[in-house]
Amino acid sequence: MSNFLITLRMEFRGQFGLGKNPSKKAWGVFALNLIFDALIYCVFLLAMYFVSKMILTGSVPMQYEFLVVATAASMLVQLFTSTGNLIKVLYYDVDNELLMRFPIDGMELFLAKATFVFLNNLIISFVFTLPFYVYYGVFTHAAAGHYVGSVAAALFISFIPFFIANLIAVPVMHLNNLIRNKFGLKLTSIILLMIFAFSIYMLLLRGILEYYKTSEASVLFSEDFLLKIKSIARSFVPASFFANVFYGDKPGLNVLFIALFTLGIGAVSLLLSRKSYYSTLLKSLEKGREAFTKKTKNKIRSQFATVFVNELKAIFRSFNYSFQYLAMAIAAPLMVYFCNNLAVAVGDSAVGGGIIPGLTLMVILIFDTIIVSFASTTVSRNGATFYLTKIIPVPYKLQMFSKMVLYFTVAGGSSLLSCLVTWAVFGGEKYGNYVGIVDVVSIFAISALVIISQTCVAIMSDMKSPTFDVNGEGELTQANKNVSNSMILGIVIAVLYGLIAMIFTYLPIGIFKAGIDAVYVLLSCVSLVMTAVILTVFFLTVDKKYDKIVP
Amino acid sequence: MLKIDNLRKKYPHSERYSVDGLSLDVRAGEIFGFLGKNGAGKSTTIKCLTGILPFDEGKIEICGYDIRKQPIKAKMNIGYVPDNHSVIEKLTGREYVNYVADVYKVGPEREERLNKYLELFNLGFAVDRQIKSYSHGMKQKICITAALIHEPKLWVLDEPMMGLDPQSMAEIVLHMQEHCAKGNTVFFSSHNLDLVKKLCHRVAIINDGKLYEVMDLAGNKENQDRLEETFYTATGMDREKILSILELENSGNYSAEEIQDAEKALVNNASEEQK
Repeated sequence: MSNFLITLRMEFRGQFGLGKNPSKKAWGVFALNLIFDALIYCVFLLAMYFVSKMILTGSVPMQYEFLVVATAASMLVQLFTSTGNLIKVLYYDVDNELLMRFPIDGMELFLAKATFVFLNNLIISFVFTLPFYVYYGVFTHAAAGHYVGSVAAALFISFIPFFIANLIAVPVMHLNNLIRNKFGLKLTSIILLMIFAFSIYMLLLRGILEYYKTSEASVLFSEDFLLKIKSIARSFVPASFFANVFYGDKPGLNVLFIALFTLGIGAVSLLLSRKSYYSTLLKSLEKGREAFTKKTKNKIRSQFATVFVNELKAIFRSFNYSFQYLAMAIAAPLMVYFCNNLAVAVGDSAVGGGIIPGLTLMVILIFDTIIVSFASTTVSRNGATFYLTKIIPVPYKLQMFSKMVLYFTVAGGSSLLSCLVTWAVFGGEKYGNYVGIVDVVSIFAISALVIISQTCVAIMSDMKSPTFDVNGEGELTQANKNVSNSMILGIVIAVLYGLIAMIFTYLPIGIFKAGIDAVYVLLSCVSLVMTAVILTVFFLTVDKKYDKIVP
Repeated sequence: MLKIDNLRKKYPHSERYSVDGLSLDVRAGEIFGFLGKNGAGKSTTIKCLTGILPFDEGKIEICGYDIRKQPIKAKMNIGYVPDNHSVIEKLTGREYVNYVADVYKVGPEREERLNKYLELFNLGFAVDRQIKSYSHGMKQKICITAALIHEPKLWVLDEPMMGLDPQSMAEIVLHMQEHCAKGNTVFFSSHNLDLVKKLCHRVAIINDGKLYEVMDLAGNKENQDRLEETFYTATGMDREKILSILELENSGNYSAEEIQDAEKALVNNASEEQK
């Protein structure tokens, strides 16, 4: 077997393999995950069916725009995932250093790894793009040739984002090497970038919604307006090339455009990668060893403080962890502001700004969930140094308590700031005093209690099944299933709490006659009982559970 | 100092006991070697006595404290150096040692101790650098420094000489002797029979999780001479092979390294044959 095939097979085994001689349990878990994924996919297909039907068979014809948006969205998703995958697989993979010791040509290594990423792209394309093209065919009663063409389109759509991702990955790696140990700079940049992207998205959304509110339907769907939309859609190159082919607008010429565009960008990408892959990889490996020097004093701390500080440093000194955790916590207040701003724009005339407190609670809880889900890797993140937590003469309870305080400080601080921002902006005269001091205190109290409960549950789930699967730099290679479990749980709670708060503000029935204040009392009591029970279970069982962990 | 009584440990999903009825009594002021082939149960025993692994049966006492019932007091008396030299790589050497000193509640005396070890291991130039840039040997040295920062009564080392340069090995050997001279105990696992013979007061040999023999070595020439033979017999090697190794050693034609390689190969072959 050639080196190319061996490396490619290794990548696949690493990503999807069940290991050698998997146990019945492993097969069972694999099958369950597969069934769960299939169910989610069915829900997605069903939802897309209705969306497609609405757009394609509605009174306003938007077939061309549908094709452009579906293709562009698929390309964007593929671009983001393949850029991330390329960086991870080509430059950050643990086996890179190992492979470089073998007599494998740099280009062979690159092609094998890049093929793996491309095949990932292809899967995304077939799973997400193809259904849209098929639905297009179904709702426009297209001929059989359309479906054959759709398969070809799904294949070709995955080439373009893959080649662009190759062009992006190299400068991103160089930039990353340049600022490798500048943790503060990296964190600040990523927060600013995140806020910028989110602000643009929310402003656009608000603009569209404002437009809907102020414009007459006849104006909105006038011929002029539709032509404008079509001309905008036409400028979405290269997605519009694919749409032109299937819409029947000079198909031959557009196939030629697709071929030329793909070949052109492919040639540039291959040329650049050929020239720079091996040297960038070597540079990355070399830079990976590069460490900072920091002169400190031999400062004495208590056991609690030293565990706290150590955990904070471990997070702050890792780009992945600080992005997942600190960036989200810092950006959350702004995100809450934008969401509320949008709600005011949309809901003021319809349901009124009265939903603001409930919405704030829901959005804060959703962001808290994202932040707190990080606690689901509390044990796993220790990786090879997990033994330290077992040998040190610090009770497991105290170690966990110290980490919980850190997680609470970050998530709770973020919640408090979000509440204050909401109060400062939406509590003023301009918005009709939608949020008062009672709302702010209540929302913070409820979210604080939920944060504590979620943190305990997240840590408990990680104690039950830690992964310790860390890469060369001692960081978790990928989020384990505990993270997704705790996210699902948190989002269910957030939506439930938010809906209760929003609905019962408008349905003053039974105990809710007092309006939102009664909702606060109810949710506070529920959260208090939930937190008390979870905390008790946590601290009563932590020693036994922690002791059982076998690294 | 260290008392292990009928220790039994079975890993989850395993059908056999990795440590099966092991009993040991290690005294204060001695260097105690712990021998056995790969997979004999040495590291598992060490992980049980340091509190890393829970065990199924038996009792482990450190300085009179039961590791299960009084884990904090027991751990306070242990300094542990693992076989993989894992340390928190995102910290600098100084930050790491201070973290360990904090958890063992070491006061301002840490400064003097740290400086002593930095000088001993020639590590002063790198102490304020992030550990991820350290070499294998440097990581081992910072690990040892951290393990000794609280001057533990029981110093436990799992194959401590792996990957160290001769000078560092010599420094560690001297330091082990110095540690014992203060009435403390050193308990370490090793594959290096020569080192064990020269350094240890007593050794225990285990095979397949069971104790094979405890031998007095200090001042006991007869036991020192029969250490290899006992070790190879314990590992299940046949008599002919044992004699060929001993012959190699006594011939004086081969370097210690060559003999060790031959020993390893033969022990591995014996292990394979046993399986």
